[in-house]
Amino acid sequence: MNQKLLARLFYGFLVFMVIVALFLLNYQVKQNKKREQTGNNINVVSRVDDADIEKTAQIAKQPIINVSSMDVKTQLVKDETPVTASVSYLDVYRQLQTAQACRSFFEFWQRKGLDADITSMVRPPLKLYGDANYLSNEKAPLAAGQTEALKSWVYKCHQLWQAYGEFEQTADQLVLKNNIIDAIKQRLLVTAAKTKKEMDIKQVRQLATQWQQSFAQVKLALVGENNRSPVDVQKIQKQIEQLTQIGEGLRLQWVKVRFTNDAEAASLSLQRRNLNQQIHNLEVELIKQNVVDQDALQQALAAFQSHDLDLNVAMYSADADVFYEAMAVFHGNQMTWLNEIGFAFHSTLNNPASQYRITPDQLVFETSGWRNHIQHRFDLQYAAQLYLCDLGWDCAANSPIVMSYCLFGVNSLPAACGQNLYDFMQNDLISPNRWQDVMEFKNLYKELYNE
Amino acid sequence: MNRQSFNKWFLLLITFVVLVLGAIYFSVTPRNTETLKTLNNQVESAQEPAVSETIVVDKAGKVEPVKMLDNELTAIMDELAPHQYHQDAFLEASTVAGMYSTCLSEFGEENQLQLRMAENNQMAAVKGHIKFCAEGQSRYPKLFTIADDYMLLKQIPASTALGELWQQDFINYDPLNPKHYQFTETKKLTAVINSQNAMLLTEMSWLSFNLFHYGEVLPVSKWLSSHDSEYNLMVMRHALSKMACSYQPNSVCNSFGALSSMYCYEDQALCGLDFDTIYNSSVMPGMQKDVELLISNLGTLGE
Repeated sequence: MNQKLLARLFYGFLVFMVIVALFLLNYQVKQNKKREQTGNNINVVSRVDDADIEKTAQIAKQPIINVSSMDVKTQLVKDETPVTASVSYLDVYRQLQTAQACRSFFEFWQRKGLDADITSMVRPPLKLYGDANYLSNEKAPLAAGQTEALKSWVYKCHQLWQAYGEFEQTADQLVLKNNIIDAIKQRLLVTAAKTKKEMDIKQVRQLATQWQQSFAQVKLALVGENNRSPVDVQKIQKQIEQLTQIGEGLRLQWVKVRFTNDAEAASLSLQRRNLNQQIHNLEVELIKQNVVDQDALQQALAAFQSHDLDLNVAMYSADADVFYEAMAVFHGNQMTWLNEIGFAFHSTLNNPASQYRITPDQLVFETSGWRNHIQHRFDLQYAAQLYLCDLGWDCAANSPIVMSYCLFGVNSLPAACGQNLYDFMQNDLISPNRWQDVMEFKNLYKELYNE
Repeated sequence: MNRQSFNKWFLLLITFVVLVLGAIYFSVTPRNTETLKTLNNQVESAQEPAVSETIVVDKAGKVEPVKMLDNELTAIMDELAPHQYHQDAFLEASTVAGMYSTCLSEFGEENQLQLRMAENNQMAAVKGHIKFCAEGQSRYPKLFTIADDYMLLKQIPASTALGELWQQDFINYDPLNPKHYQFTETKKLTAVINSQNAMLLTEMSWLSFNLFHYGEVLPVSKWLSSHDSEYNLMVMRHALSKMACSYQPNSVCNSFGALSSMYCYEDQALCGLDFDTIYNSSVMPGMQKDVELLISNLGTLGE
């Protein structure tokens, strides 16, 4: 082999090797990419957005908020209300208002302890167009305003928790034994009302209690007494129970297939609808035999109407707290969050006693002359809340009502945090066109109750 | 360098290069078909996480949907001809079913709409509704037997893109792919707006909660400057209803039309009224302005 040929072979081989090396390198890069993708998808199947990395970072940065993490001395927003000292009726009443707003905080601490991260209690925010997507097992990070509001309310609620809570020491923690709201109500009952405002609040609270009791009597009288034999009643109840269990089974099956098998989901849904109708028929059957004692009903109605009249008279007050107390009565136990105040459901279908009362929102709506009451639920609600603000109710940025919009509700509304109620409603919640409709109702509140 | 030492170095270099390449080859490529399969499966399963989730369905409780027989289907198709509302048989059937939805009594009980009207002493309206239903029953006797069962109705073949889109179930939200949901709902809404079909717009208005329930599908809150999603939903509902009435008012917006009848369930005083009267007596001026604003924004979708 001559040297020239050998040199050509050598350089040819080198070129070949470079090509092979490049090919293998390319193959390796492709495989690595595939592996990376596989790893991402398997480990974090929920990453669905373009902004995933940012979102993950936000979730990771989300600070934990619990009582232990709160440095009391560095709190910027402090509740100045004294908790344990000798306080006036109004002070205790304000504590009660705060405690009522703190109800879900107390329940959370009772269930999970003071060290649990309370951010999990905040309702997911309203998802607007373009907002990041989160799965049901993920939590959207709190907005800055929500974090501030939450810290401030943890502080306030914890103060009351400590002041009014009775605790029992178990192996590893202190367990709350009493109901804090009831404890404050009890204190309010034994505290003397001295000023006119205090006396008015005390009076309307008494009226409210009487109203609730007499309304409960009307409800009871309307149900009547069942003249079926206990055996028959038990038999029907047993049937209802069995059907309810089957219905729950169907519901669970539906939950499993609702995204994957349209036909089966629809069929299960239809079966459940039919089952619910059977349950409804049995329930009707159960109460059909009830006999209403007309004398007892008339007696209950007479007592109720008297209390209802007194309560309505009390509503012609220019005092926001008095008006609020009277209005809250109509909600009974149905109000989950304070921002629901202003519209009381009055279906006579489930609650025939509703026909004997007129709620403020009903009165305002009837006076307005518009139709379809239920469609105007939120207009009426906002109008009542703004009317309360006009009367001097606490509508400030750190008020209970703003907190309920900022953190709770069906969806939390972070835009509410840090604004007073009026500004939040006008700037964010209510469209400029709709504002005039809400004002129409609010003006009617003023005309009907304050002029 | 002499020839001998060159040859020696050349052979050593070749051996070295071959060894290096061999090592790279063994470390990079899958060793056997099993490894290759595993790698590919990993990729595939990761790309389709929603489907691969374990879903156990109790076979005993499983219910097969009823299938329409061929002759039943032919009879219904014959009955629909000539089409009144849409060239697509499925959309025609869907429209007719929606139009007479208030005539179909749930659970074989009394007609709920007529009961509501009677409770409000609107006996003329009750008579009118009975006549309206009788006419429908006589024109579409076979369709009436399946009209309240969407699973059967869906078996009528669709012949247009809109029909096929409409046949897809409304609740098609996949939490792993929210953008797909947003895309299909927008596409459906756009197609319905473009169809100018009153009944489809009416159905869309009833189902407009789908445009908000899993988050806003369209920037409605921005268009209206309102963060109240319940309100925005109502405005959407009214906007689609208004559009429906502007196209074929007689099919859905007269006193017993599907659209008007829905309001009777919400407020008895609205029973027996046509849509325009209902709208003007229950939608306040500010909201009416928002409805117009939304209609103009929705109009741009259809362009």
